[in-house]
Amino acid sequence: MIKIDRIDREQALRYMAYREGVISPAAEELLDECEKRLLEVIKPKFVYRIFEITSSYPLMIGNVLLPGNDIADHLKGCDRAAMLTVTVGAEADKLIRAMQIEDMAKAVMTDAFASTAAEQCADMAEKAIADETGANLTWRFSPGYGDLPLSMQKVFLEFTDARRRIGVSCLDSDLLAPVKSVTAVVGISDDPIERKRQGCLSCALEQTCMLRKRGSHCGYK
Amino acid sequence: MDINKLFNENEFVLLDGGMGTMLQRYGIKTGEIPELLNITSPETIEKIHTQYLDAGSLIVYTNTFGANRYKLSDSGYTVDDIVGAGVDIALKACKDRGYVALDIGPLGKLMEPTGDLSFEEAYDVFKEIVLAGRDADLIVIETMTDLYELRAALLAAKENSDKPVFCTMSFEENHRTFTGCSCSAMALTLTALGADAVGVNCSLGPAELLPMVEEISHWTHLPLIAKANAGLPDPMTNEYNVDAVEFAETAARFADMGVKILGGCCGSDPEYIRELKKQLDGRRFIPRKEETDGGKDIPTAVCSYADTVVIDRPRIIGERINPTGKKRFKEALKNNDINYILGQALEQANAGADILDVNVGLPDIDERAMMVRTIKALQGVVDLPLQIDSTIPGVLEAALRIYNGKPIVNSVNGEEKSLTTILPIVKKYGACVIGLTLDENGIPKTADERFAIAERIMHRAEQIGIPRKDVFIDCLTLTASAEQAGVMETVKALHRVKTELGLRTVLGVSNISFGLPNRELVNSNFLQMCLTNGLDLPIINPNVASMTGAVRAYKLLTNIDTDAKEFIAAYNSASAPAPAPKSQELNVSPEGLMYAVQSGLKQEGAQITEKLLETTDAMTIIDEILIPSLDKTGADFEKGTIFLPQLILSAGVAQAAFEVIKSKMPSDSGKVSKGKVVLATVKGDIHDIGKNIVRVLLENYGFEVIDLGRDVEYEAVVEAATPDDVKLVGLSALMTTTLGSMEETIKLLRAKRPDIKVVVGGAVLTPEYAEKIGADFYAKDAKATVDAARKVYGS
Repeated sequence: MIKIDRIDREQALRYMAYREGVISPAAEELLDECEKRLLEVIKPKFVYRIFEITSSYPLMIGNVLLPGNDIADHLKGCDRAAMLTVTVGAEADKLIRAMQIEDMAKAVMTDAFASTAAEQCADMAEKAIADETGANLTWRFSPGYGDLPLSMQKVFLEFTDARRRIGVSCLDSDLLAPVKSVTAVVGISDDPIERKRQGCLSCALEQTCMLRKRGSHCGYK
Repeated sequence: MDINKLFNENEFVLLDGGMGTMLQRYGIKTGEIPELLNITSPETIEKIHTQYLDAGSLIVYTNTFGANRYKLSDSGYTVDDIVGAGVDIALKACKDRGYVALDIGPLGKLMEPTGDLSFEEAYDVFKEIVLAGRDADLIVIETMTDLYELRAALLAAKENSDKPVFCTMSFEENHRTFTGCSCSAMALTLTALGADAVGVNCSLGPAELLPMVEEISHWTHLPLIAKANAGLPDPMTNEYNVDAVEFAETAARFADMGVKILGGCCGSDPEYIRELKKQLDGRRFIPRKEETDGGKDIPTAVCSYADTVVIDRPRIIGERINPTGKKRFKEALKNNDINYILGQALEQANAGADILDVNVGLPDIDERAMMVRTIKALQGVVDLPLQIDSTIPGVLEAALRIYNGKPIVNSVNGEEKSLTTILPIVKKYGACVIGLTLDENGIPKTADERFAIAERIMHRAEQIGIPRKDVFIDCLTLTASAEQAGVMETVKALHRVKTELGLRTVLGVSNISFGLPNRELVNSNFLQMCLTNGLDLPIINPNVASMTGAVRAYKLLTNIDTDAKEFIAAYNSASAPAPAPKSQELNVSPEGLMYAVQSGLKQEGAQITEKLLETTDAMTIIDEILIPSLDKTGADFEKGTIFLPQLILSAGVAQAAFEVIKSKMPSDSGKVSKGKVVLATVKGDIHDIGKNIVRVLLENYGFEVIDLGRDVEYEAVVEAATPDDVKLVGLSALMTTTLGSMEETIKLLRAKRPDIKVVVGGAVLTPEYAEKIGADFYAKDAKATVDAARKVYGS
């Protein structure tokens, strides 16, 4: 079982649209409380599966077609790819629901901490893939980025057997449930890879991102 | 062959091993639907069944694990086709040497509120499978991780078939399923609801599952099932790491534990079953004590899916979810304000309640619909077991259907009509029940007469199969001011019920002091008297410290709370922090209140407001202090010098100040409302945290919000927006896929109320798109919605 002991405060604050200025002692206290309560309930888990890349354009990994040019560009030069699904579990959703009743300020904080925890969990999955393969990895690329449709969520869940192994499923609207879950693909190569991080320009939310509107970013600028 | 015979014989029952594992060997690929093989390659499936029967399986599972209408939607086949064929193949393979179990797995969609599948829809989907598989000898519901989904399946099976039903869930190393269901809650709930055998399958190997089966065995008298994986999958190769011999040796330890029904799951094949049979050959199954005595020594307990509360000591039932005598609560019920009710639940949970009573009865509302809605919402946020409180059998039944655990029904009484209508419902859904000691002649005066009614209720319950231990008796509290002589009769009756009948006792305590001064003193003394005389379940207001404290102190003094652990945990930390010295800035002045708002200090803000009201006019406080303070924090937020949680905190202080003002001027409280705003997350969209933030901010700015919730029908929005005094509707959508719903909603609104203003927001919206679909305002964040509301209402 994997464990998250601390949540990246800086990243979580970015998700709360924090830019600058003094955080009041009252807010600071709540931040600590929310982080603590969230850490008590999350159950971070990940699954991944490594495939050979069988075609570059269009991109096929194993016998799965990943449509769009962006993902194909992203995995250029790789001979394998790993599909991964991670989650911090259903209890986080429940805590966020309860917080919305108890105190909306805490709900916003907990929601951001939980998103951050899911990203940390994805980092751990990436590390496990790197350790297993001893190879170089590209950045994570998820359904909904660039021209890889969000409707691919289902395929990611199926090929990582995520429903059965870590309890992640997908709604009719293609959002993941539990909410604080992530699916992604990373390219694998024995040769050095130029780590092109997913930036705002190739993000599906480029036009509408709340963080960008506030002049902030999610960390992958 | 008669399947029921299996249960009576002192033999082990061998199930089959993995189906998926075998299908992979026959070349099926990820992404293909394995159940289609029932049509395209029935001989393959039959071959697999035959191999298991040859190896020693007595029951084989049909190849129908995922044969539900969702998974088959694009396959060109119906559930009837696939399930019918699956059962036929297994029947053909079994002939006279085995039994066919209709295999039902999870639907692949998550249940509400985490997912979007409703209980009612899940029931329908399972019903379809059960009917399609009617020729099987029994039904197995397996690999479930959500008790709620399993309950829907079990109800569908019991109500549409008379075959035995086996239920198994998949637990993780922490002894819980992915959704947080515990072993004890699973066993208690399924036993109560009428499963025929319960246990575990999949997720882990036999060694890892042993402790979980052990735990389950303490909570049920039903035969146990263990169908473990062949160990754990290797992350690299996906191969399972326990071979057939080791698997059988470990699995045999289930038999030592009293497990009757054994098999294998993922990674196991006929070889595993053969080895398992070898291990068990010559051994006789010895039923557990719980199985032979009907589980009479299993502790009395109630549970949600996550929390089990054993009634082996006084447990507090919170009474606050009840409109009787509460104006604010009645208002919430009339306005469908579920959040208020949830707030009451969380407050009681934090204060120390163990169980929550839920009563939403009001003459002019649809109590049944409200009860279902409330229970569904409650189990989405609190883990405490619930007590369903209504006088109407239809309301009780509707609530019991969807309750995800083993609840208490409040109540039945000694009247014939009550006994004949309520007890069968309690039995069917397997709840505990409170028996009130009154009958056609009212509440008897003496303890002896009440005792007699209690005894009668107990016998009647036992007659229809409700275990004695699930009957709790309420000897009824009369008010001391009106019937002083009756107080001790209640206490005496309670004592007799507890000691002579051995039943658990329950009592609503607060009534005792009605009409007296210093009610709290009377209540807590009466509570202590009753506890000493054997009260198990006091129904009280847990938010009153002296009441909860009386229960805690009783448990400490009677050595129930050993080493005073619970007591110290409750009071040690609470007394520690001395109140922080008040900052200079927090004096009673307009500046002090402004400082409190900007610093997010709710309590202080409320206190200063209360003091200020003595010298300052309410509207002056609102218009000259609160609104300008909010404007300042709003501007700081725009500039980015404070962030969203701080804005919400400040708004929360203003809200607390508004509440104080409202409570001080009840007669003209209407003045405080700045106008009505209807809010909804549009049809198809179920993510509503953004909309909820907007609601809180609007309320804090003094607007009255009619919150329709999420996934709201177009017509419901139009209906809510029909009254003339609603001038603004706010719509939220998170997904590109639901923007269409937003547009439709606006179209319908315009047709009915051309003059109404619409503000839209949500992650995927842009100002351009908002204009295109006919919205009046685009809100880039919650604050912008408040700005729109202020523009519309000119404040």
